[in-house]
Amino acid sequence: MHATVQKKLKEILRMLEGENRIFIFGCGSCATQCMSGGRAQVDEMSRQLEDAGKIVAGTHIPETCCSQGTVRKAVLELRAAHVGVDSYLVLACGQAVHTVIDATDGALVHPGCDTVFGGETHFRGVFKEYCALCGDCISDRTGGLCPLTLCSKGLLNGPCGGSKGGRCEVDRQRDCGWVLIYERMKTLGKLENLKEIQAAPDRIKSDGPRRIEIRNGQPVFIAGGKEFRSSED
Amino acid sequence: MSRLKEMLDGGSFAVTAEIGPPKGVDINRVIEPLLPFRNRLAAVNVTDNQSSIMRASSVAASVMLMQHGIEPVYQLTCRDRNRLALQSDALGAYALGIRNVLVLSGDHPKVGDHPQAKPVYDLDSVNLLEALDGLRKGFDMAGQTLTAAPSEFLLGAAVSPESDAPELQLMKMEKKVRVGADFFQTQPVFDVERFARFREETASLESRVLAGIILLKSPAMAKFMNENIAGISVPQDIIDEMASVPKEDFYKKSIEIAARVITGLKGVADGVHIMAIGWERHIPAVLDAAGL
Ligand code: SF4
Ligand code: SF4
Repeated sequence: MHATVQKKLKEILRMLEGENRIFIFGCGSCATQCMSGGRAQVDEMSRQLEDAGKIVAGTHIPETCCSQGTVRKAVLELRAAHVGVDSYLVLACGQAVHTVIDATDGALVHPGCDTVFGGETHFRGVFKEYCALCGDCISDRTGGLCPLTLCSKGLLNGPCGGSKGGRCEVDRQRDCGWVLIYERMKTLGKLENLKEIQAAPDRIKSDGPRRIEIRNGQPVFIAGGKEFRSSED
Repeated sequence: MSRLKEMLDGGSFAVTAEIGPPKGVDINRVIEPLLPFRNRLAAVNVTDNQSSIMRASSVAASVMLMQHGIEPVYQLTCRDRNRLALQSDALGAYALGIRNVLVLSGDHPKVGDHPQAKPVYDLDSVNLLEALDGLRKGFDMAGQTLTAAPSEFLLGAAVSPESDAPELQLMKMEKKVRVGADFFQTQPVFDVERFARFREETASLESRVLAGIILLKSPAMAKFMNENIAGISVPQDIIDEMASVPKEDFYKKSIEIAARVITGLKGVADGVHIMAIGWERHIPAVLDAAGL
């Protein structure tokens, strides 16, 4: 999921300065779970914008706000509500912001949330980041625990000198990723694997903006000006 | 060849000290205290934005040390530069006459005075050592041939023998040796026996290790380090020993403790790296008392 946090009202009102008719999008998926753009938050935002003297032309919460087809369909169905809209406020992730630009053929769209990470729903109400979306997964070498994400410095060959009492130098409340990896590899009986030297990462696959295109039934991943296919050697 | 390399190769007990460039252009100010005893030092480390606090550059301060007849150990961290900048700075440093480089991950920007900065860490310390070893052999990380190689680089790295995650430390130390680290400097050592055990455990690596020595300024500083700094543990009896003298004699006690540890380390370490943090003027007394 894309974890999001709603921006402060003050900041949202600053973005909407000089714009009167606002349409609000939420998202029925991630932003609903994160309570940043579900029904309740969209209704609350509506009230707050009206209190601030805005006209809320309409609200909509598509099942997923990052799917252009879904959002375009919603815009067409509610066409009347979109006439004369000054701008859109999206209470969902940054992908959804662009989806609304696309689905409205270029309307003015404001992000109402900060997109903070791609996360796991740890359990209801707790979301945690375990993957930094680097594009070239090496977590098999570390027992499925990602050193790029769990270590504050993304070190691949072991801990820095700042690890103390199993905690990270950046935040002593937080586990040192390398101690977690060590414990896991010990449990798995694979400590030997950690002795392997990890070469400097090839960061081409993290060079955005990245795309995936399905061509002739085969996904093609495009990053850093290169194409990658799973079927290639 | 660097003097440090000569001493390490020749089996002499090498003494290094450390300066941190200031937040400003008055670099000479931190070099001057070392001048009266510069001949007793094999080399002097120059920190690279230590503790992630922005300061004048380590390459500039290294060159200024050389102008004063002191051999630098140029510290290079992975925090602020990507692989292009790291290799390029290393080549430039060599061209300026720098031979010793100490590679570190570098403290995270969040703990320093520019916490808003982007942490780089394109390479980790193992990757960077490997890259510098490659430069030494005439190739950059992309496999391109250099027009002239920094063939006499002496590559250093850090290790924490008293870390509370010792297996991981040893594992990483071993990797550093495999990719070309010639010597190590350590976090402060107080427990000579523990350090001797560490040397036995790592004997097969055949590496040269300069044990870290810190001049304790007060019992409070020792307690603070125990609680807050990773890889440092000052034994209680040393804290008590510091506390047993009046405040105005702390420096004498500190010299005595440091000299005692150094004496114990002879034959166990290949030398010592003294972190005096402002008490550089006491280094000669430490060396005298340790018979160096
Ligand atoms: S290695 Fe990359 S893809 Fe794999 S978990 Fe880490 S950030 Fe995600
Ligand atoms: S303390 Fe651990 S998690 Fe934090 S930066 Fe160092 S190795 Fe990474």
